[in-house]
Amino acid sequence: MRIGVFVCHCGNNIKATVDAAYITERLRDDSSVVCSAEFPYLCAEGGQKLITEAIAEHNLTGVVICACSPRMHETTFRKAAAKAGLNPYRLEIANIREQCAWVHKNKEEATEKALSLAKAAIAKIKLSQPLFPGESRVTKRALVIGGGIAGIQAALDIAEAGFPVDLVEKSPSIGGKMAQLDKTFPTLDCSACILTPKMVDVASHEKINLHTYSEVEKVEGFVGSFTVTIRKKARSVDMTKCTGCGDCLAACPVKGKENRKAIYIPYAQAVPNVPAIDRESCLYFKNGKCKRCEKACQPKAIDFTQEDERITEGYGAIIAATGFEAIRLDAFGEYGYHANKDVITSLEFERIINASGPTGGKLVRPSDGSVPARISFIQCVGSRDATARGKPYCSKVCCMYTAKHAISAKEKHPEIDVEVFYIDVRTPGKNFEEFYRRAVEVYGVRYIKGQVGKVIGENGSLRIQAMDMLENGRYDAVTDLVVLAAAIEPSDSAKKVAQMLSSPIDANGFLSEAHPKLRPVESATAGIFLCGMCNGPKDIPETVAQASAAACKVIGLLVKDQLTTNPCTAKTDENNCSGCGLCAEVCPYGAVGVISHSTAVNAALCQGCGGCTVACPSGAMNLQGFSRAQIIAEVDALCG
Amino acid sequence: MMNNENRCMLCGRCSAACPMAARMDLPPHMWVYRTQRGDPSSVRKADAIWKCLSCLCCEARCPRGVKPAHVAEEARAGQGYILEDVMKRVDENMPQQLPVAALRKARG
Repeated sequence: MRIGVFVCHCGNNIKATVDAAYITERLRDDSSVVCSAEFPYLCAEGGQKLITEAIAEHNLTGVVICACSPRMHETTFRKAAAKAGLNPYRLEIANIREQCAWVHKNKEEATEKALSLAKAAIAKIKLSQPLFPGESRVTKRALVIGGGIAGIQAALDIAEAGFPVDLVEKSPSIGGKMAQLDKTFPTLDCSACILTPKMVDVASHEKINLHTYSEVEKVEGFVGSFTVTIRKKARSVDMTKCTGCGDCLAACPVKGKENRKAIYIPYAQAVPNVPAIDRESCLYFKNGKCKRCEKACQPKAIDFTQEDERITEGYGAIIAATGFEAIRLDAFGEYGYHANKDVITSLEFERIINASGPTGGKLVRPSDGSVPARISFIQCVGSRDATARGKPYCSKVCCMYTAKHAISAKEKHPEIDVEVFYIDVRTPGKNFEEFYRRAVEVYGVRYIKGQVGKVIGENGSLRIQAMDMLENGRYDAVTDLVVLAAAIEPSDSAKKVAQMLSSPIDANGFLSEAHPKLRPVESATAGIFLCGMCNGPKDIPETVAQASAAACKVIGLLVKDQLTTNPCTAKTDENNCSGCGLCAEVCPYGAVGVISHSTAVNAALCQGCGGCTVACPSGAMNLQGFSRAQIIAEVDALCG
Repeated sequence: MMNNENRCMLCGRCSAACPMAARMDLPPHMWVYRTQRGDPSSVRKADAIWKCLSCLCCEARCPRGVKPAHVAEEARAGQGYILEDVMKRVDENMPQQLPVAALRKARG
């Protein structure tokens, strides 16, 4: 073997602690090393030229670079080697910066260590094999999980770029939480007015295939080539026949939560405008009698015999946009949410002031339908709460939507006395602070720095015990309506979806991005992208921006016909393999399969973690580029 | 468990929950705040620490795991109103009210 060694100074980063000239000289002692050189910055153009010229001049068959971590410049140097005609996997990096120069002070010792690291790399390169990356085909179709504003925006952007998209939504209509909102801060745009055109676009776009009332059941495969099973839940209504006339809704005798019938369309602007039967409250499914909707339906669309249907489709990329829920308030008994009808959550208040909500937009108390004379908003219910019953993070949107609610209440009835109990008012965002100040200065909303300790129902009113921190005294009052800004958490389906996608989640159950600064819409798992609240609390503009960014990443992936795969994957030596399958058991990526007394690795799935090589009792499994022989040679060189 | 006053973010939920706060010269959050600011002696001087019922409502409501009632407990002990024979018998299982009541009686 003809090896060339190149030692980088990295300015003073390496040179100040490691005697580069000395190790350059000493490495020539190895008979396989036919050339060695030092250079101030190997990653610079001049440095790369030095390497490529040496490969040609000395007819090198292996190269060792003594420089920074391979994370920094392995790709740079491998490209240079390939340019000179050397197989890029016959280039090794000895990390003498992060793992040597930066962590040592004694130059003599650091120099000896750098020499050892370089010798280990030389021992490894001697046993290297040329490797060739494989290719895998890209299925030019995307899947978006979740039909809220995040999923809608992502699906539209991908479809507009010309790629087919399947949008899966678990409820009967797309629109998500945004569809339930009355207005949006800080512009007070009507939420439905800006959302419904997008919903209609989704339904009518020729590239978008909408699966409502459906859930993802199984995900297999890898970036560029996922296979997904989607369960379409029985709607009990034939979507091809239904005209959305609503006759069935009028005929249904059931009155459930929010006056909802057993056969229902979530709201007037639902997309698709096709009802679904809630089999838990439907009299026919409960008692076997009724069928009034069927009689009322002229196009004969009602189908009580409908069953769940499963479809399987291939995708190149998947976007998770599973959204959020407000936390349950069972553990917050002191606010009396379950004990008093007039203690409600912010999302319930949103429905009360919404023209398409159950009260038709009339601001009335749930208990007696009267207009409240005083409304008390309580912030941070479960947010910024480090105890077991709460969430340690700030839910981010509550300060702003509460200011919006306070303004909405004052707009409807200026005489209502509105107060907000807060810990801190947080308004970072374009025109957010101005909006909050408007609530105080123009609408006269009373902001009280302090929290509520207890809410007690009393003679049809609510007595609150609070603290006014600026007065440093108790603030006890009688109010008519209490609105709780409950903390936000990932939707209950997020964990299941994350597991199916092998997408990591954080301590709070939010799907983690691959890098918090530089890869904010990618999951650590290749081919999986994130947007919206499933990734953390955020408002609508941020969600839309993130959705478009995720769509952009997906488009960038789908325009490729082939993906190159990393050749440093595991490989079975069939002569030594007994087919015990231990490797398949430990593989976290499902890349190893047992086939008739042997095993086979799917190179496209293998991430090169090496778990199988350690598990294999007969030494039949090897990681290409990191074979056991190579690693033992490295250890021998370090210890020798 | 450590009573780390620095975890307090001054939300006031302890004082809002305290059944005696209205009768105190210094409400519970201020015990934590003063300790946080390095002034525990002013807590010892406050009459409020003798109004505390040790019901621990403040601690149950605190979103940050701070323990105002324990600050009062320490302040009472710091006053020197310790009946040695009572304190000797205090263990984890003894209800907090018991030694507190004993200390109140001792103070008259």
